[in-house]
Amino acid sequence: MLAQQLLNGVALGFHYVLIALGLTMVYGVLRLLHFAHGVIYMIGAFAAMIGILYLQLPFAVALLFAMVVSGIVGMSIERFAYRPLRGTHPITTLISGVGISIFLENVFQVMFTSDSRAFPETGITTSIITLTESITITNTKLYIIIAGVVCLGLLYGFLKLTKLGIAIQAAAQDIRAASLMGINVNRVVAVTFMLGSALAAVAGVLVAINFNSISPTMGALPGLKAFCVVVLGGLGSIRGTIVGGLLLGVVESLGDGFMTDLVIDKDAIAFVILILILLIRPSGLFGKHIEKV
Amino acid sequence: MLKKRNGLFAAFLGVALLVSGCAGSNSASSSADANTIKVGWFGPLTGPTATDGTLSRDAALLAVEQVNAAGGIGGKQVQLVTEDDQGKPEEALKAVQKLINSDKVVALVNGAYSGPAKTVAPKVQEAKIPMVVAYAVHPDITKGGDYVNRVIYTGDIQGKAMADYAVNDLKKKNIAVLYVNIDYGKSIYGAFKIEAEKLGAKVVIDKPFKMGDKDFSSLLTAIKAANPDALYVVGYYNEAAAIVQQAKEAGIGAQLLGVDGFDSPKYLELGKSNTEDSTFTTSFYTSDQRDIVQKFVKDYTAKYKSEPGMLASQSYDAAMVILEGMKKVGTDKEQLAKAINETKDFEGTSGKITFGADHEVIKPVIFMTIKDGKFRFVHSKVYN
Repeated sequence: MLAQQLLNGVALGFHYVLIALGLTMVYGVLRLLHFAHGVIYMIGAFAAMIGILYLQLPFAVALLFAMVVSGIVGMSIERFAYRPLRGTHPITTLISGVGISIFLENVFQVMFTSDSRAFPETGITTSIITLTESITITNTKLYIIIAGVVCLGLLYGFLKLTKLGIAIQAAAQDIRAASLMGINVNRVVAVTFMLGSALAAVAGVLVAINFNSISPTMGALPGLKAFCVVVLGGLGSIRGTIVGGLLLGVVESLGDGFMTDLVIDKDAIAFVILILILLIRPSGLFGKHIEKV
Repeated sequence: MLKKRNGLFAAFLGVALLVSGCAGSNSASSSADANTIKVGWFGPLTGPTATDGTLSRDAALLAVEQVNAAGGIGGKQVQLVTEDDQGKPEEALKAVQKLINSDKVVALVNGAYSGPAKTVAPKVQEAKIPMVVAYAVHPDITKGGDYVNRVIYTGDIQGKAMADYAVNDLKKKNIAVLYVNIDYGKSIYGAFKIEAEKLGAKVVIDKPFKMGDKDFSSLLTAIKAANPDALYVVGYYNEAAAIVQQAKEAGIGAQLLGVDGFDSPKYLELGKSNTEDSTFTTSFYTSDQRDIVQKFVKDYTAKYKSEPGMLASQSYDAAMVILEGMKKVGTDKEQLAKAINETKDFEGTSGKITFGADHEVIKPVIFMTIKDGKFRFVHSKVYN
């Protein structure tokens, strides 16, 4: 049973990692807490639903469509909600992000009602893969893990091997110095948002298939938890985010499976970890410098 | 240039917010004169529970329209005044105060959840306005006096009924329970546990979950390890659908049992074929052959283009009980409250309705199961 719970936790963890990567990249480049990220995750799932249901796209194309839509929405949020405020107090941009997320969530509630709905047929039927006698995993969960690993690989390759990826890294080190070196910082920021949003869309779509349910508020809690993951791993550290996400997934699974009558519920575990990290090691597990809070 | 575009965006944002805000305001407020009797309705028309509130309002409206079409009450037409409580107790209090003080309603249909219903009940008692609760199950709601009655049974009855069915009819001995961690789940599960243990069965594992939870795999792994022969899920369709699906995925073969929170087409939509054979307690089914039910189903379907569910039936009955009381004694509030309390064997869509001395309804509990992706009636039995 322990092994099964660990596996449950890893699948949950990769889901958090996929959402949190976008957050951490945005923080790395802009030093900005992007609170509208959870909404992007939701938009990804809805875009895939619209793609399959109304545009009759096959699933793989619908997933790409969702990534593109989310990428565009992410870039637009940066362009219209964050860029005009660049250089002002960080709280101002943070509030702007919160405002955008409330706005978009409500727009989707007006358009699609606040009810959960089933995710359309994708041609993927859920099946159970038996690993050992007592350990099983569904194929949809396996896809989340595979997608997590593949996206991480692609992201790593992109950041290390392409010119744009190196530009992002440069901007993350020092955005002003990067701009003085002739890097088009606005483009770097836009690409960062696009990539992060596309990753969130992948998470949104896969989770929607796994649970067969989407709703306009589906991004609220995962968005907040991703924020905890990012702080846990160290703001701006991609390695830290991966470790933090998996850690949170496993801790939640074990908490759910082995402890009854917890004083706090499962969702609160993330926030307790957040508080502990802020108290004990404010820079996070892999953070380089300590942020003043 | 930049500034101008931002201005445009801000204007767009403002307009959009205004539009979404307006969508939440109440609908029925046509002109009233001395020849109309006003009945108030409140419940969630916006927010996460808006679907339930809308169903409830639609059904109450249908009841009022039917009575009006048949000549009204003593020659007067009835008007339903509706207020949105957004699913929040504080908003419900405002809504009820408005209905009582400015709309001067003579009675209230409570289409809200337990939290808001519990908060407004003392105010309603104090104002001496008869109120009938449609589907909120918290025991405290009816405790404060003679003005509040309830047409749905409390959680206790459902828990007891399912314990009886699981142990005596299905011969289940080791039962696992997942319950939603709010009054609804706790009260039903509490009564279930007492009754099941009295009948000789054992609750081998119980785990609470939260409204809005989606991932139950860890809970279900723990349940699988306890090896139960039945799994009783006390919760609403969103979570229930996720649980049946993930229970199948975890390889749990136990009989699935549930509560009236399952009774929604959404359960079948979200849970797909995994819902097959799950059995739950409720208070209404559309294939009931009694005339009142068939007429209700026909009219409701014609008006709203979808089949009524348990929520609609409960709200329709709540409104009907009030209107029936008015037919007998008119609009004097004290007389009306008395007439409602004395309701006996009234043919409602959810069975013959009688109120006990504790202002709680006495009517049969209905057992439903799912066969070939459709709700099927199993049997019904009166518990009290």
